[in-house]
Amino acid sequence: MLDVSGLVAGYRANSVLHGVSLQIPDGKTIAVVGPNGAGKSTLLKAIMNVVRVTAGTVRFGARDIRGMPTERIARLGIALVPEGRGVFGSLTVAENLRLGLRAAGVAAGDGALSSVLDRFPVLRARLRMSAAGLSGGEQQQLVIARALLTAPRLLILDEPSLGLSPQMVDEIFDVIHGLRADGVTVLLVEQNATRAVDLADHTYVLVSGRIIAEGAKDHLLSGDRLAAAYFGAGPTRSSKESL
Amino acid sequence: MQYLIDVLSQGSLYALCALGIALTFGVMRLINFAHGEFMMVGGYVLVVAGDIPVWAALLSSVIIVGFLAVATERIAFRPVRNADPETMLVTSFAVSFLLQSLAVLLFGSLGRSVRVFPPSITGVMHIGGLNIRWLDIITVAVTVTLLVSLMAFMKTRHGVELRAAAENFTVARLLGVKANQVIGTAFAISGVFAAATSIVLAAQRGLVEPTFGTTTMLFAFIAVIVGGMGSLPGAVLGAYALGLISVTSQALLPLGLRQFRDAFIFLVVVLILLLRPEGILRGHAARVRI
Amino acid sequence: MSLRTRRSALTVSATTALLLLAACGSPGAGGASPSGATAFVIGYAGGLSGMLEGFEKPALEAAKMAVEDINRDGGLNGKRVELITQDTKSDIDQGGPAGQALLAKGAGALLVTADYNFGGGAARAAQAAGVVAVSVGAGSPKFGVQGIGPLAFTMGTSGAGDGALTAEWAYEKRAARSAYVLLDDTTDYNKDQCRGFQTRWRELGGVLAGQDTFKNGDASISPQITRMKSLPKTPDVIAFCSYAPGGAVALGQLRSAGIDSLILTNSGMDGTYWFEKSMPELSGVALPVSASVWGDDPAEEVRRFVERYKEKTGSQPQNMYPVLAYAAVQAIVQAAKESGSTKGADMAEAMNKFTDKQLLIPVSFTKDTHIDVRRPARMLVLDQGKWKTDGLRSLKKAPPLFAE
Ligand SMILES: Nc1ncnc2c1ncn2[C@@H]1O[C@H](COP(=O)(O)OP(=O)(O)OP(=O)(O)O)[C@@H](O)[C@H]1O
Ligand SMILES: [Mg+2]
Repeated sequence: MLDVSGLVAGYRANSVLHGVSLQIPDGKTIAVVGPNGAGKSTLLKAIMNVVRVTAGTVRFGARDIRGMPTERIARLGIALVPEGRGVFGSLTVAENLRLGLRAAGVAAGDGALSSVLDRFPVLRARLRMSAAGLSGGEQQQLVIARALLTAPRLLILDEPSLGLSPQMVDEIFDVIHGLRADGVTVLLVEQNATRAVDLADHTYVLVSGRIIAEGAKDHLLSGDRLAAAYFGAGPTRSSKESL
Repeated sequence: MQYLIDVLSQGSLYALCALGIALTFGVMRLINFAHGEFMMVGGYVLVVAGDIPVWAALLSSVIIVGFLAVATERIAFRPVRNADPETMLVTSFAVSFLLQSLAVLLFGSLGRSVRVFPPSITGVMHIGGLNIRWLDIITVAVTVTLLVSLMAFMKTRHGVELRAAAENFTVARLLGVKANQVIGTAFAISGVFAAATSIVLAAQRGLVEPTFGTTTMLFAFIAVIVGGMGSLPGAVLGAYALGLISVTSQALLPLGLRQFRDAFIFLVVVLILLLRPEGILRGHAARVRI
Repeated sequence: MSLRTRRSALTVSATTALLLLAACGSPGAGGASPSGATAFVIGYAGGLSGMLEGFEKPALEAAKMAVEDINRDGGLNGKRVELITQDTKSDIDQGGPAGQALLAKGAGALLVTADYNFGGGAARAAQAAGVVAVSVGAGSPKFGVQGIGPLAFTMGTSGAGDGALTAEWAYEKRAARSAYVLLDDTTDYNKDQCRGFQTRWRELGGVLAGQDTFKNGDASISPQITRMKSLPKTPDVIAFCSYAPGGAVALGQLRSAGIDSLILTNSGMDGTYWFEKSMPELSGVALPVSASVWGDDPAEEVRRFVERYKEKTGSQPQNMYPVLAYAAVQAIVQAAKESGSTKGADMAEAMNKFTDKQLLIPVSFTKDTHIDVRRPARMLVLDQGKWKTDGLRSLKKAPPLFAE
């Protein structure tokens, strides 16, 4: 579905990605993990043409989408939920959701809205509230719900569990599981690496702007390959614990 | 009490102008110094319109300035949209200079007198010892009408997109909000506000010259800063605050100090900004973006 | 990618075209080619484009007429007189460079903008080069020995004198007794006018009902009007020290607030352009000028000049500056003739001796005073939208030229 190859991208003068390639097949959940500053968010922004891409190709289905205006890429069916959420605090919850419904050119369907609200019941009670008044977890649910309302063919999540309580993280992962079960294609960037690898069909490990390892969970999680790739050293507490 | 009317009238004029500036600043982070020249063009439209019926003159002004604003965005600002703020600022100065030069070329630098409304509604009403100019009523009425319309618009689909884009342009685009469309809309509305300002200003001044909009634009710009860059309610609040400060300083300063009125106004503005560096209402400009 | 490039190329060319269009409007700088030895060259440094264009272009037209007339009558001691121009773009900082450019092209005298600040730069350049500079009509006494130097002269009259003149006229001819002073403190000329008015008004025994200030850029003077309206009695006259555009705005607001006092102002409010549509029946505005362009000047030569000017340019002059510019060229040529020299110091020496020198209008200077304090003024009075001349008046007692 999404095919990225040899991607070089970055900010102004300096490149952050040095030839990244990855494939996201239809209906699969793909994870990208890597240390802080590896370029994960930059990769997602490069796919959406938010940062400057200087080399490589980005294909979505049969189309070359590299260099397309961000909103056109979005309208083709890729929804990126950015790092740090991106709720519109000056809008109400309902307006945030409507933006997802309508901006993507989807015919306004109350059906779509209510089915998404069924998935995120807390939002239903807060529709008329200012989005700025929501808790962190609620905001994260709002942006995921908003992205789902655009009826994406590919949903990209950038660190959806960042800054959430463990309980809330569980909830978010439940949602992703649910999406997976529904056949939505998902690209997940996670800090919580082992959990992401566990969930995903296939995982890429990005370090310093390069993919240094990839594979399915069995392959990556065996023999501490992930930790080795990730940290260039022995396994850490957190990855061990998750195992 | 009489001064209160002056404050309302002056504040309304600043508010009309400030909203136009804040709208384009909101979506583009562009400080549009050509806004005063949009107003100037609106004024000249009224001059050229001459003796056609008032409503037709006003309508032409709104249409032409709205169109001019959109065209300016397409021709001048779109190519520098992703450039640094300085480049955009310089571009807006260039547009402003160009429009002024064009006005000098077409109409001369001396200015033209203009009568916007028939004499019957340029007089004064005496109500309970107060002198209320019809023009003050018109100014406030136009401002309130446009404000209410703008608030209503902001609840519509395009309005929500505009507000979202003003808060975080990139995230709005990620949701499929069309950048060109939303910026075009902002400029069109900004143009309508510039035209409305020019109508009120031309009626108040009776004269249109190439620098017609400059002073009002500068004060409105200060109102936008005081109110909180990029915040529309802030711009309105800032405008009325500025109207209050300038009328009271004119009314209360002793004669010897009155010539320093503007310095005094700016002093108050600086004090406000020292207390609230992001303006009365915090704008979105300072907020973190992805 | 190519689309983007093409689009921005289009933008660039569109912008360039517009800039060119703007540039074409201003007459080419220094169009004439001076021919040094056989001609005497006068340089005109003025705002031929930009905000002063409305004053400067008519003045330049008149200066050209003066040069033609002089050449028809044999030129300057057998030499042709030539006029070259340099546009200051109505920019104060361009004054000096414009003056230097003209001097470099061999100008033997300069005509400069009718304002101390805008014309001062070019005049200083002339002073430094030992060349006479005559301002078309600056109203500052500093435009001369005291400010720029002994080679600078102005055809204008002083703010203090103009203000005092309106005080005498209103007190004597209109029997006005109470006055309000409304000062637009944007320029020194305005301050001088109000000071001159107040000085004479007190001496005459008139009452000062109050005073206030505003700024030329003010969109509204409502607070000032509110203050004025709180007076127990509407004053007979308002000394109104301002100029168009801001002055026109403020004056209109005074009238529409129902304040009908006689307004005493200055030549910066001459013209019909600022009220003909907004207040076509406007009355009760009076101002002193050196020449009326409204067809009824007491001097026949002035009336004839205005007719010729209208014929030549096809437009009605809006103020006295064309008349002053014509006389300025005459003054320069006369000074060269009388001194028998084209050296700046000699010409200045001759101009210092002008006493009621009959040019298009009478011109007087002295060694220390390079602004005319003797010229009789015409009081222009606005009546039902028409400017009418209310006779010639000379000051009975002049206030100090400079503020203490
Ligand atoms: N707006 C920016 N301008 C310049 N450099 C940036 C910008 N954003 C990120 N970078 C740099 O690019 C590199 C990659 O950043 P990126 O945000 O893609 O990392 P990441 O893998 O998402 O990290 P994290 O886990 O912290 O989110 C870092 O070195 C960062 O400093
Ligand atoms: Mg990141």
